Amino acid sequence: MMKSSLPVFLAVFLISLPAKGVTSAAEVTYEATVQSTASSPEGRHALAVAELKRLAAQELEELSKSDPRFVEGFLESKDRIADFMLSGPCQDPAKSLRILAAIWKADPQGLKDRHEQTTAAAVALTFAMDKWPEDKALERYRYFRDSRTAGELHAQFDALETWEKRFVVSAGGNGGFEDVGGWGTDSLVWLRDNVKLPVNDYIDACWQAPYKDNNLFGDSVHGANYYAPFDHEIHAKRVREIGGVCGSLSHFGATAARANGIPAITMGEPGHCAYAVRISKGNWQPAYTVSWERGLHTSLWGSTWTQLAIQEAAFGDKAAYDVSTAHLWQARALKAKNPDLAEVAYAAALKAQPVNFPAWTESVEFLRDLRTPEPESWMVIGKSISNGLSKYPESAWDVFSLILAPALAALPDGERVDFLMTYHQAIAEEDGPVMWKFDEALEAQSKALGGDVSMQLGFFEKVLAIQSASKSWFAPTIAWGQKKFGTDPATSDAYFAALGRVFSSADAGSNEAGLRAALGPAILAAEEASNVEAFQSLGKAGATLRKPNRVPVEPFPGDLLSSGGLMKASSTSPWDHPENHWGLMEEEGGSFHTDSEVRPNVVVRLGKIGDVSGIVVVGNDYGQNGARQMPLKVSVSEDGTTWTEVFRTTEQNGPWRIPLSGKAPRVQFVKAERDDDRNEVFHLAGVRVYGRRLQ
Amino acid sequence: MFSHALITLVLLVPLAFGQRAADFTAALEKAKTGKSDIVVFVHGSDWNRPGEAAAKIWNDPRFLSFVGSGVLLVDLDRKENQTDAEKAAIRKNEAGNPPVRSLPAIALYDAEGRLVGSVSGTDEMQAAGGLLAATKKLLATRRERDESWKRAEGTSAIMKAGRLGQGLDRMNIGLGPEGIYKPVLEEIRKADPLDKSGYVGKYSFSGEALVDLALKSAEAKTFTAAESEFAKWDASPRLSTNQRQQLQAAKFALYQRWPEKKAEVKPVLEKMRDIDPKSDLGQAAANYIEMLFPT
Repeated sequence: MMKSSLPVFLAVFLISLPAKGVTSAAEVTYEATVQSTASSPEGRHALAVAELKRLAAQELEELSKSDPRFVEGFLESKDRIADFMLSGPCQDPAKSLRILAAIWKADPQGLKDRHEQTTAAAVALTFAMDKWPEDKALERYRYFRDSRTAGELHAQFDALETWEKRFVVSAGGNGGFEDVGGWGTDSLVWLRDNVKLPVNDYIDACWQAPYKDNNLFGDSVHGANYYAPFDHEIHAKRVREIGGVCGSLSHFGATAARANGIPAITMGEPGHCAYAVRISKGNWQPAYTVSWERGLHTSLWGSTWTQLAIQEAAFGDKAAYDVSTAHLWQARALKAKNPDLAEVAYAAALKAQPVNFPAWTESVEFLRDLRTPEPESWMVIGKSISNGLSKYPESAWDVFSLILAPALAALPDGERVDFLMTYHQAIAEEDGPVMWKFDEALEAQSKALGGDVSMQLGFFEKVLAIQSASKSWFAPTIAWGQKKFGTDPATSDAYFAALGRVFSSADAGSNEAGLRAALGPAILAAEEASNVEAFQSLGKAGATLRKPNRVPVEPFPGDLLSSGGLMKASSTSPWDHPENHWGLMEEEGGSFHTDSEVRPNVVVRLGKIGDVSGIVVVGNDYGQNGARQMPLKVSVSEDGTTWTEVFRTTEQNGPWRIPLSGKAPRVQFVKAERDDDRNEVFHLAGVRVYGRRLQ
Repeated sequence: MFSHALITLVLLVPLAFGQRAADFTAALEKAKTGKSDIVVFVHGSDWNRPGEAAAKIWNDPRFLSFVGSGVLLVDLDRKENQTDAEKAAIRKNEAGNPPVRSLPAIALYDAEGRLVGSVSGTDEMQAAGGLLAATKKLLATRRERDESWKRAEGTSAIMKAGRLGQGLDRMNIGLGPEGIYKPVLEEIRKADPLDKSGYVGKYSFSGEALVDLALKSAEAKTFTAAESEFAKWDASPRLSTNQRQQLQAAKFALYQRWPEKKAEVKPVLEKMRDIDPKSDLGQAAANYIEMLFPT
């Protein structure tokens, strides 16, 4: 192994490499040619062919014997090679080549059209994935070719590039290809001809199928007989007619979009299946979603929502992506025989596109495994990763974590926490595209630090100080600290003391006052960030600080859908006690208190999407201050944007029971507000929502 | 002589033309005074290619004569990229945005702004014989519905209930979106409190509720109560084929869970199948028989 002080890696952000001439060869021998080769279309083509030969030499050789015209035409065509090599990763290049060759053999005429060429490449790359049936790829290609040429697809499809089409041709997933029982071609045709909608409407397309736990024979959706008696029907049709639960409904919505040529994905959420539709370039909209915790079922770079977002950003600048990827091919070819030059190529890849996530992981693994950086270099690498990917804090962490162990092992004790802080400083002002498991990152960092509890508490305090102004990371930091240190009598005093110092609380050292001072802003931050998990965690942490406020009111049928959710008031005030917010949606009761304002309100995000049977609104003063809530208006919404009024009263003597059976079939948000123009405070003690869960 | 007749016909044709309205609000206003039908064509000119083929027919001047007089046409273009003016215009079409599940679609509203029926998506449109045939069928539906309801006017009791019910049957959309035809059901109920016509039962039937009853009764072991309820529905004279099949399915759900009635499972499925063997539910019953009692 070679020791490296990493001057070249630093060049990613500090210097520009000079270009000293042009070469058309894939052979890279000098630093200057690293730049020039990847920057020209001819150079990239040569590099792509070389990379393909490196990846699938044997398959190419076999195809050269069985189908020489395909191989010759393929290797010569810049477009076709770019479709194949610059459209995201390929899990099995040999399998993918076989599929592509088979499609070209079956349809040489149709493939004179570029639209069909990109569809063929997308199908070949998609069906090359593990457990995807190679023998079904041609049928998928034909479906999209025929549908497109017949003018049956959404107009958007014609403008899609190969990488985008991978999110379309993956319709139906890798299973259930039989027409009976799965999302086969029959289902695609049926969805194409029966669920053709403006792109935005696919977000609600899942609800064309009714949510039903049992079919009309009384068979549970969790058993084998739910759809079985309807085997004579096309699967998509029977899902719309018979119904299903989240899995069937989300697949219906996503497959409907894909069958019409629109990129879409399904994704797992805790205890739930959701989906997402790509409304326009760079704009993925989650649908039937209940959590930010998502595992995407289709993705080019990884299974998190952040990875979907960063991939869109990278492919959105396709020219930069192409150059960056070409540099990666150079680096791979060079790293064994000329690591110094490989390092130049990796640096060039990152410089060409700082959001190219695979370039980061590969570069960092190269440095970690083959270059053995000096201690001071780890600090620079950590900072480079954090700054380069700061707009995507989760991705930054994914790469940063690759060097966590070796960097902390190499750094002196006094610099190890500072090393971790380079990450936190870089992301403190960035919210990222979505919430993620930030607490798990803190736990991993804390564990990697090792040492005693005091060191870890010091780490916590430093993170908290950095993230105290962050809308996104502050609440989960507190929630993590509370879980790790706040519940253990051996560490809780030190934990509260740390909180007190961070909040400059006069009550530092006093557990209750310190916790209250820390929890209030953290709970409000969790509400602001709509972070249900942090809100719940912090709410439970504040249990000892709450005054019981139980007001028994006859419930409505079903579950307490609001339990486990999140509330957000339109403002806070000196009379507001955020530690009481948690109980608002629970039977035990709680409270909130806004400042004086016009049309103050509280929005409750339900713990579960549901078919609401009724709402109970509880006041905390029906006497002198009861008029503050009047006229009281209650509205419901599926998306938190479009509201339907379901109740209005000027009768200030509550609690108010609002029966809604059959009137609010899909609700995720409930809003209670004062509906007049007075400038006045607003407060309630309970918003309990009951009904049937739809997830 | 022939040419004179043709000229006369040509001169008369404009009088039998439908008219295009700027938006649904304007159309409804006009429809209320002129007792007109409103045909809404829903498409998306900047994304929906099959809709554009249908739009050519819709925009052909001859379409106005095909639909005839007393018909107002509203074009509802659900473009994805709208100008501010188009966005503002959408508000004027809100009341006439039919709950269709695929585009292109055609929907008919009566002079009171109530949905009469719709045909949505290329499959349904083709099955209906294309845009023009679909429109004509919807207009015929409205006429026949109103004829039934007109005949009901001079009658009472079971006769009145029957004719009102036939009007609902003609539309085949239940009580309509958001229960717009509930007042008709109430009128049926008032005319025929004992539901001798069976139309109250038909339009308050819920297969889902019956299967829920079966499951809950089985759980509570109150089987006979559910069976009595099913017997009441069995006696209802007007249930549709599909409803009668759903009723048998609910009985199946009950008998499957009722040890003493296991022997009834197969006959119930056979009955469900025999009500209409070619229907989806008839085939489902046949499939279930094969699953439980393989031959």
